Amino acid sequence: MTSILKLKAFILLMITAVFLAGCNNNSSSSTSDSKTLVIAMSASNIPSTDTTPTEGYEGYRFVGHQLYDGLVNWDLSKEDTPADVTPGLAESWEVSPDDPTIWTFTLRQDVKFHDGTPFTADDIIFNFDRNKNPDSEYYNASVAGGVLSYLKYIESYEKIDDFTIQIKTTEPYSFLPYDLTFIKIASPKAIKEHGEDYVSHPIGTGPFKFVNMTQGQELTLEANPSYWGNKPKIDQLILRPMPDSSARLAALQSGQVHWAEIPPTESIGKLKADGFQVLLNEYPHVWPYVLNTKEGPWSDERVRQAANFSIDREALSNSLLNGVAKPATQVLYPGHPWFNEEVDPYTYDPEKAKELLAEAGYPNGFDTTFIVPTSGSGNMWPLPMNEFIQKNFKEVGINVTIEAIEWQTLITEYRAGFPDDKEVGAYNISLAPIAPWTFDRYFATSSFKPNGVNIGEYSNAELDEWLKKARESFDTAERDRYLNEAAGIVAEESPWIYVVHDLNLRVLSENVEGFVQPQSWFADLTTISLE
Amino acid sequence: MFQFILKRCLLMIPTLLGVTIIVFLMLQIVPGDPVNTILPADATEEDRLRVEQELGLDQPLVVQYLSWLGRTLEGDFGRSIIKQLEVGTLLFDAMKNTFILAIGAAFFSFILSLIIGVYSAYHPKSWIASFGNMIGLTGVSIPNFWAALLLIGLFSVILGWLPSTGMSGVGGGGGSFDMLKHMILPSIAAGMTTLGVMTRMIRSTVIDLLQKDFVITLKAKGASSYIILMHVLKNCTPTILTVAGLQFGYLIGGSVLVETVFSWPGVGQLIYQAISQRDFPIIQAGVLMVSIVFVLLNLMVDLLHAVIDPRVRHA
Repeated sequence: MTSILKLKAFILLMITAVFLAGCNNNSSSSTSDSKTLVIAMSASNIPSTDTTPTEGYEGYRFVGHQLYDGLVNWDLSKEDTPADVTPGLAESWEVSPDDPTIWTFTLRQDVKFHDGTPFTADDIIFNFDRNKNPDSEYYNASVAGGVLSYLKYIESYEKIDDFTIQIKTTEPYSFLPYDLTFIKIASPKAIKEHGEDYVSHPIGTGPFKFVNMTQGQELTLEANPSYWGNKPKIDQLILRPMPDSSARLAALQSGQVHWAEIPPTESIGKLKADGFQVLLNEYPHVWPYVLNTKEGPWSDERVRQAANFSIDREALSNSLLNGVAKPATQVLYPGHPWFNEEVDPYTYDPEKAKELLAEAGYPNGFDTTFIVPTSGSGNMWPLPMNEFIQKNFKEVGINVTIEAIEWQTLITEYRAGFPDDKEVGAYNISLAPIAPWTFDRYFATSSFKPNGVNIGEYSNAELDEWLKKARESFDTAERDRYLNEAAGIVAEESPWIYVVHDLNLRVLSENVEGFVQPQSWFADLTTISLE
Repeated sequence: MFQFILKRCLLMIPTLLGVTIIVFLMLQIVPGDPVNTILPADATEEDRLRVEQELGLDQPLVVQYLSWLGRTLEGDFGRSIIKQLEVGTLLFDAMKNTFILAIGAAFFSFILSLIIGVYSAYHPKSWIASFGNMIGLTGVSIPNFWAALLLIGLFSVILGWLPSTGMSGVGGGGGSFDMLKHMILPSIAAGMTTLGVMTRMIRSTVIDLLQKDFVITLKAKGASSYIILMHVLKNCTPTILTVAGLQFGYLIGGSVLVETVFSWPGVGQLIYQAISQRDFPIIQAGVLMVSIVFVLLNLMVDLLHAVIDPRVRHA
């Protein structure tokens, strides 16, 4: 018996030894190198390092906009106004006064790619070909697929001289600069040299350079010391995908990362008390229901308004979401140029909702089905939120059956439009109204499928008129005025049920300084320094 | 013996072929395709059809399957549609990481369950036996991602002893010691279920054996308790081996949740993400690879049985 005991004791001792060996130094020392910023992304994968990042706008935020520039970039330096465009690789552009479809871009002359090759107009043409011209040798269908909606209005492009290019649009289209922020410019030399393996050797002109990537673990970038714009203050940027919010929180609390995207909202109080910087700001995000205005009860404007009056957005934002969202009554939020102040905002008014329903011929309410996602970029916490709203609707007599489906399946079904063989009242899908084309894409008559994603087939001639004027207006203030009119119509007639605007929750550790939380999906990482 | 191995290997072929066909068909039934992952949310149906055509996803099913099978047999798993990297490399790396985690989990759970299981069979009234009972119950009933979060909360956040994410410190980390540190929590979390299952199984098997005639005979002959233990252990090895083999197989199949919580870049996570992005080449090759490993493991367990237990060999 004693020998068993000895054996047992020995094994136990060994296990303990191994365990203790692992514990002897503090893991937080890993981020003590003061010049390396470590970010916990909410993406499940490392975004593709090609010019069209995967993982949606988070891919652009941390990878695309860091490795590359577009002809036009986003100005992310202000937190009190919505982010707008700013010159990127093009230092200026102008629209021909005679023909508003002809744009001339003057390029910067002081730009070099990360591999040292100087940047010229040929590089723009090469990259446009790679994304737009299926006959070109380096055309890449996957990469092109990611940006094809941003290239839709471009008819042709040509080099005028080494530092001038001309783009012709299919019709007068003043939103072109916004589209160009997504067309990233890579080094043609690197693409030719590495071919299919380009993603392991990406070369751009952006503020950060690629160092290495361990699939599924981390992507390391370093500062580009010869960047033409504001040079990064940190030396290195390490991005780690952590799809689980509790895991991001733990990594932040234990000092393994400096920056966590959307930790669990319950943790905000504790994080603040512990000295972390909890950042919230409005940005162009909206969490709506896209309604089937073509047929069924939702084709009646009064029913749509009734639904908008029946949601207790304050309780939803503050109680359920712990203040990380704000009530949405239009596509954009108050203070945004495309928010129409003149429309009476939708409040929580179940009585009024019932009246409107009765007026529309549904005094006893009706049954409908909403297709909602179970997760996905920008969708926040879809299941609890939908259940909350389902109860609100029930109070006024709208009985919603929630059909929760996986995100990719939802995207597929959404793109195909409302089904003919069963009643679906709405899709719950978060969209990013980041550019002036927002209203065009979601509400214009010309955006019925298959030409666009106005899948509810909402149509209003007056709106179409305002949108046309906006597209053809090359003066920003004037354009915003037209879009504001458009926003008013869309708020009033509500082809969507507006629910909340997310507030872009992210938490930074105390020693991260200089970051500006912009009103944007993107982020400028060059201003950051570490104490 | 050789015939035995050959027979088993030949049996693997239809199994694996079946797996590839099922996976391929399932991918076609599930709505969505990689094109939807590539396209921005507001791309149109027209755009989708165009990209689908450009990627060759509009070909008839049989053509797609056969061309995939042909390339796979040549050892070419193709390229990930979304990640644009070679599937072979991606899978190989992920498989390696999963093996590391599975070995850690197996090390933790096999040894601990053997100790607790055998001890509590000998001393059913001791506190270790009660503890073993508790582990047997909680191990199988606590979801392992929950156990993972509890472990992270205690050892990473409160005590700050162990890292909670990734396989190494930032920027590549510091070698095998660094990795060992990163392995501890995920290994425990992933091994919890196995620990529970095995502890219960070992305890009941040993209790059973202790009442067998041969043990009574050994005792009557005055054999020392150590010798009796050795006899008992040898007799319960086949049972343990079967369960352990299966459990190890499950660990290899990928503890998706544990891998997700700890950001452990294993094969479970890789396939899971590929499914959510409909990255067909990774899903197909990944499932195939996991199946091969699973089938091989089963084969190995059977062979070990034959080595240990002559009755199996001659059956």
